[in-house]
Amino acid sequence: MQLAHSAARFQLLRQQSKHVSLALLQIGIICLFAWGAHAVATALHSPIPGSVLGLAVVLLALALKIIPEKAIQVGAAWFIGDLLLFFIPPMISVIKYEDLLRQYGFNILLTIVLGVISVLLGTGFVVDRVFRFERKQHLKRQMAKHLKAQQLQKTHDTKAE
Amino acid sequence: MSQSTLLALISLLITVGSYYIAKALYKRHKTWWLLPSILAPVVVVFIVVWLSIPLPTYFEYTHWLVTLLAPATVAFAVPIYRERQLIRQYPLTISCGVIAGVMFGLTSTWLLTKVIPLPEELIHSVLVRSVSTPFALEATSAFGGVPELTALMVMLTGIIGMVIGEPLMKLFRIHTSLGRGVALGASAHGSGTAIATEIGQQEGVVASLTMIFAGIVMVICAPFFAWVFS
Repeated sequence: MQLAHSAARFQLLRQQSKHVSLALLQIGIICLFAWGAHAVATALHSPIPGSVLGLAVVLLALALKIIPEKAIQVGAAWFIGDLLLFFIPPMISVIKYEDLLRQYGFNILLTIVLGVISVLLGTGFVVDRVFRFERKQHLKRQMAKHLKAQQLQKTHDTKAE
Repeated sequence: MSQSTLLALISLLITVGSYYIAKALYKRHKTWWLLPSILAPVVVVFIVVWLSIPLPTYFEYTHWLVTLLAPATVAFAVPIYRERQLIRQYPLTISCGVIAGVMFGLTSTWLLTKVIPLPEELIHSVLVRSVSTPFALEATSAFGGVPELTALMVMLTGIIGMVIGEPLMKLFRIHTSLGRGVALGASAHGSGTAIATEIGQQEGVVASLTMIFAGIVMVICAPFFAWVFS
């Protein structure tokens, strides 16, 4: 009983360590892409920063099936899921700007609150309308396709008779 | 080990530790003050001030965390690739949403800074606030912004969007799934995406796509935008 229990735990531990090592490997792969793209961007004096260039390269590689999605999926999920961790340090330097923030805190909040409201409502309003239009177009196209298929089927049937 | 190295190690430990503890706590109790974006920085600032750790010492190891923002940007290729079906289905809606989001973000903030008095360095740092941090930090230098202040402005934008997003959209009748998703992703980046995911699967996906594309547009067009909004 005890033995079976510890065996199961051992199994679980092994699976977990396997998952962690896979994630670490994939994180390494993504870092290599990012730093490689950064080096290329610096060497070419590219106006587009290395990180965005790296994104484009990886996206292209995924689309052309040069790298399978599975090879970086777990690592990418970690980077995106824990994105917040990477920018806690810059926020700590607010200590340096304490007086500035104390003095202008209210104005900053006011600017951001009003800004967020305008972006949210403005974008929502535009997208709501464009989406209704595009959905209709999409449905029309699908209907047309459907009808055409039906017609084809009919002519096919009559021919068979 | 010198005292400075020890303090630098403690800094890294409390930064990573407080983030994961806050994340675990928020998973159990969804109260706003347990949000990792609020609790973790507050705890770290408190400890740094309490132990009087000098900022250069604090950054000695923790700056490695910031360098991970570049690979995090690269990692965004995976969700774009995975959701290619949705992009192919609604290319017009998504591109209009991204352009509208970036333009509303820049013009509203720019106009507001003309009315509300703010010091120069804050004006330059607040303009890119509506895009996700890795992109904002990349773009802010073109506007003459300070990276640290920019990170703070982006974070505040996320928190505020998270709080007012859903009730505001109900009030103003933004009903469609893509309308809600794009609006949340464009106005509150990562935090907006988190809220959108709670509303629905499609809302979440489209919010994250909007956030990524808006960030890319902001970074690529930063020199041009900086010239227009100066």
